[in-house]
Amino acid sequence: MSPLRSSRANARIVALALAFLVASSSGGVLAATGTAIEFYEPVLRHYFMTAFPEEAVMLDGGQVVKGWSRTGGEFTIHTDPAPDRRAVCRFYGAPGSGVQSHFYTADPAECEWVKTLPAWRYEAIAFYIQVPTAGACVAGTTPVYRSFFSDLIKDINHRFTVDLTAAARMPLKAGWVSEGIVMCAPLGDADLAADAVRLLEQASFGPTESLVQEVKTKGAAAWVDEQLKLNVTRYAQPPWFDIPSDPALCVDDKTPPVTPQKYCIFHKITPAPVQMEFFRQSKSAPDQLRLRMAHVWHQIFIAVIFETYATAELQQRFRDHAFGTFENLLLKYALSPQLGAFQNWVKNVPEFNGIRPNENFARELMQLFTVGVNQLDEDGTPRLDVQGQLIPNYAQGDIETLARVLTGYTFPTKPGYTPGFWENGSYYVGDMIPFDARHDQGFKSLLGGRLVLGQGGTAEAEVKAAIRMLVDHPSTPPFVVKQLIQKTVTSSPSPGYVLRVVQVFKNNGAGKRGDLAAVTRAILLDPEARGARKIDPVYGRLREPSLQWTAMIRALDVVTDGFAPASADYRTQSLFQAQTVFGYYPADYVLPGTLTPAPEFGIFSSAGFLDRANHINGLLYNSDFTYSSQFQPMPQVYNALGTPSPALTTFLADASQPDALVARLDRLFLHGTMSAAMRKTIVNAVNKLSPADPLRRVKMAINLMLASIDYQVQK
Amino acid sequence: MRHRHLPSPVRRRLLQAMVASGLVAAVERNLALAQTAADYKALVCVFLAGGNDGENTLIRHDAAGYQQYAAVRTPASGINIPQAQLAPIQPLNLATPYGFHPACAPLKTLFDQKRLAVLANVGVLAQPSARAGLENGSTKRPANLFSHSDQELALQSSDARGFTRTGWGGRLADRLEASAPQSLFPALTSIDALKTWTAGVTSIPLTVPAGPWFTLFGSNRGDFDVLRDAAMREILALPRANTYDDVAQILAEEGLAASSVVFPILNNPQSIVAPYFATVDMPVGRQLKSIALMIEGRAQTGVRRQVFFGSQGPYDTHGGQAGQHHILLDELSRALAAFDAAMNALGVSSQVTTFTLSEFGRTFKPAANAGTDHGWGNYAFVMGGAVKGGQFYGTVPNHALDGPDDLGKDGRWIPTTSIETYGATLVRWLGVAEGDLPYIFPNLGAFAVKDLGMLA
Repeated sequence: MSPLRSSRANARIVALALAFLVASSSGGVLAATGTAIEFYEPVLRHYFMTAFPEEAVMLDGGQVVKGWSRTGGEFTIHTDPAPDRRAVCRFYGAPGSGVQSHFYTADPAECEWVKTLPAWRYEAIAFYIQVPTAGACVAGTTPVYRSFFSDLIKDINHRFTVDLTAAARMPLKAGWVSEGIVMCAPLGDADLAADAVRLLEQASFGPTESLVQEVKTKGAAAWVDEQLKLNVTRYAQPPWFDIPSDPALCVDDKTPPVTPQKYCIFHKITPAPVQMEFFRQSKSAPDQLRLRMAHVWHQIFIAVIFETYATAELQQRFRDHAFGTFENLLLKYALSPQLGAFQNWVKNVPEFNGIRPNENFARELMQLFTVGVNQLDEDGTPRLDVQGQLIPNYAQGDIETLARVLTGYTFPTKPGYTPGFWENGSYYVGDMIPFDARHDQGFKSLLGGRLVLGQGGTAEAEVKAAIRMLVDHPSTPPFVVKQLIQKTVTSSPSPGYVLRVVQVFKNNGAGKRGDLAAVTRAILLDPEARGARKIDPVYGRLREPSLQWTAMIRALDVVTDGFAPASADYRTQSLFQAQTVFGYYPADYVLPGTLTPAPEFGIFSSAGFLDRANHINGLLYNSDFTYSSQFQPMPQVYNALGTPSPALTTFLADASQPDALVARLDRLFLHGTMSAAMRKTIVNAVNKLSPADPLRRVKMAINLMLASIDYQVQK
Repeated sequence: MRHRHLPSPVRRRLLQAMVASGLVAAVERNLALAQTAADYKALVCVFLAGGNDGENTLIRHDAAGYQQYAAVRTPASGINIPQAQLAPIQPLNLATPYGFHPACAPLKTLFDQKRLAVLANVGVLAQPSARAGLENGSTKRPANLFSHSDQELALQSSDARGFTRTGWGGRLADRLEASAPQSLFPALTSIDALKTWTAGVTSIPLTVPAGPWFTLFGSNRGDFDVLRDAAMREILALPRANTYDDVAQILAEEGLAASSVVFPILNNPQSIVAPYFATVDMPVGRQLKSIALMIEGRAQTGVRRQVFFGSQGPYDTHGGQAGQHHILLDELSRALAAFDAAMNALGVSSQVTTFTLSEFGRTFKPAANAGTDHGWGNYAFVMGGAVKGGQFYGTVPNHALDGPDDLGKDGRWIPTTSIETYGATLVRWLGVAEGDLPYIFPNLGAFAVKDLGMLA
């Protein structure tokens, strides 16, 4: 019956020890709230939860009862009764029953019923807690999900967790089923702060202590709703610059004083000025959520262009349309001359003289921007045919037909020029313009007749009809939604999370499809995004280098003109300069040799880790000595500030109390999840430095925090 | 195919690899195995990302052949290369002369010197394929033909179905490490990033940069830095419950551990190979320089059978192909020639074989905007002193549009040599036992030819 003899003995000791603890902790000396802590024992493969501190200490000690370790799962409980709380009955398997695990219930009827079952022995009231009403928890509390395991013989186990991702994955293990929300745990101040920090990692360019306070006060939903309404921060739009055919006409005039007209190449035909502005605005812009989502979209809707004004114009499109509809954002991208040039569909024409219509955008419009290569269920999992094979969404013939649809557009007309299909030269302000005479007006049928276009259609009507067809395709919502979740919240969202957001994508509640404000809101307010504790082993996402920079700039109040973060060698995340249409890293990258999605690991490696650690190093210490020129004010930068090492003034107050300092950093950078061992290591290192140099102490703590893997992976 | 989440096996596997290679402890102690230069062999993979246009890389130079080329790739298409500009070669085993793209002049020299071989029409195949079978469905096609990501995965995993997430380079490293348990250094070194090709089942590759910086900087205050580095390592060694933490941590630990050996190798002031790369200071040149330096430092790493992975691109020349393709081929050719010269100078020329891969070739028929779209079969190059060069291997496809070797009407050639045949030829030369070939290439049995005979 039981897996192992030693386990049985082990369990008996737990039971004996607990009997003592239950008795000794009933004296009423505890605080009004406590913490339920989850443990796991890998031989029995059992979860166990306790709210008795002495019992947790005993299991942590591993002396009396061996083999149990914390999962990281915790929630707050009450130790006193109150009218809106229920007593939680705790049971253990009755002697001789073979059941070797605990059971908790806050349902009085269930408690009385279980007391009558011979397999269970009632132990005590474990704690007090609120319960859901009509399946939902009231504000100020968080759901506790229960999962149940049975081997259908004697082995039984229950798991209680506030982490929906972890709960959602339990039924994937043999013998486990979900039993839904059974309790509502109170959210304490630390819980609210942790959730606020997490929201700001997902929805902004990084938490600051003051913004954490603001979100905590307002609540996540109110903050998100407020953000959705803010005015759009604009990139300073550099004027149109025609790259002269004679490069000598773009001369780097280096005579001081610097103006935006000097250093022609730097200011006119590199992305650097826009990159720098991105980092400056990431620190100060109030519409953080919009800018963060624009940053997400620019990694899905890729277009790389050299001219500075063209980069700013394109990136502004993502900001302007981040909260409109998906269809409109896609159109603003598809019709941008930047994309036209990048994907070779500007000036694409029907077959003539043995030259075929260009297939580049036709293929990627389907593969990367809408439906994806294979059919997906609404929860984002690939659909399979009866042979267990993936089902393609389209064939090569569809790409060739769509390439014919995507003909007849040319660059917008430069001011003062006469429009002409071939005559219009590279110009990146406004949308491309159609010339129906250059459009393939033949009959077309796409995706098995999903769209049929009769003869004589115009370029604009056909391109828009094709995009509408792809937006309406059933694979598009899960394909797009999953990527949005991956680029904000977690690399491996549960199918349920994808499905919930897909429902909103399909219909915002008012019958509108692809309402990106509603979709963004649904992603961020989903219970898998929110919550104080995230313990699922595949929750989170590796920070992108650019977002690690913005987070450091904001949390540490770094003064920067943006040059250092913009020019840092990211080992492939040079902003707005993705190497291919697949982006800085492939959206379908997996942890090497596994099926675990991990897009950002596509630009992470041993060498990449050293890069990151060295960027942190450069930021923290460049003012101590000439670390690297990129942190100094650069000659070509107008109003150069460089990126001096931050003063860290607000943290200096805690330099004399390393414990307080590290706890504060833990809250701001790790949502209070720092392990005791890591805390001890950092505190010890700080303590070894002289209190006479508080800045060094603070830098040590911050350096160790930022370079830790715990921080590199946003959870 | 639902996602399977494999946190604990990932951890175990990676840890086993760390323990098996003894990397953390051994490399830090800078243990070097005594070895002789004679007992060293390396394979160097250069992945041409995006799909190199083979049809403009090598062009038939005889009158009829060039005419066929120019009739399809007309001057009006914007991608035509005039015959007079080609760098002509005469393959020893063919009657037909060919011409390299003018930017490939260094490759012509290597070919003439018999240090370079050409493999024609190699590509991802599920089974030997002919047009009729592919069109009537009796022959299996690779999943999502002509898609970059799918064909790159299939090419690098050698699984035309697209299911396998380990690469044949990584699985090769698995077998090399298993057969040389005394070796203390990863068998595979990748430049900059970990692509599918490098992922093994039991091995994890080392990544080194295409440049000298592979070390953790300090704050210029010794006592502070010693304290910081020690604490950082302590934190990195803590156990992890989260899978992403786990993998990131292993890569980080590996980087810190290996840097003490690799940093001096990449910054060797006495290097005899470094000067060969002075004139190829661009991405692929810097990658091959790092690889050359690692080979030069083989006594410090102690590896006797070593695999390297580098990449160059993007070759996805849908539009304005002429300029970009010229730049890429020019950089590639000069970098390969520099690497070959460096290996000669080291005296390991016949012990190091360099080869190219690309996820697909490109349509013979041009596309609007002076470019080409995604094709299938393509040319590959194999270079080194062990190569029986100056020859073509495989079969050049019939270049008729809509002809017997075209899947469609645009010149997407059906490969006549599989990645498995090509790969098996290479890894067998490296010394992999016959019995290990199915582990590295599970579908090798589907193809009659197991060795192209191009390596001595």
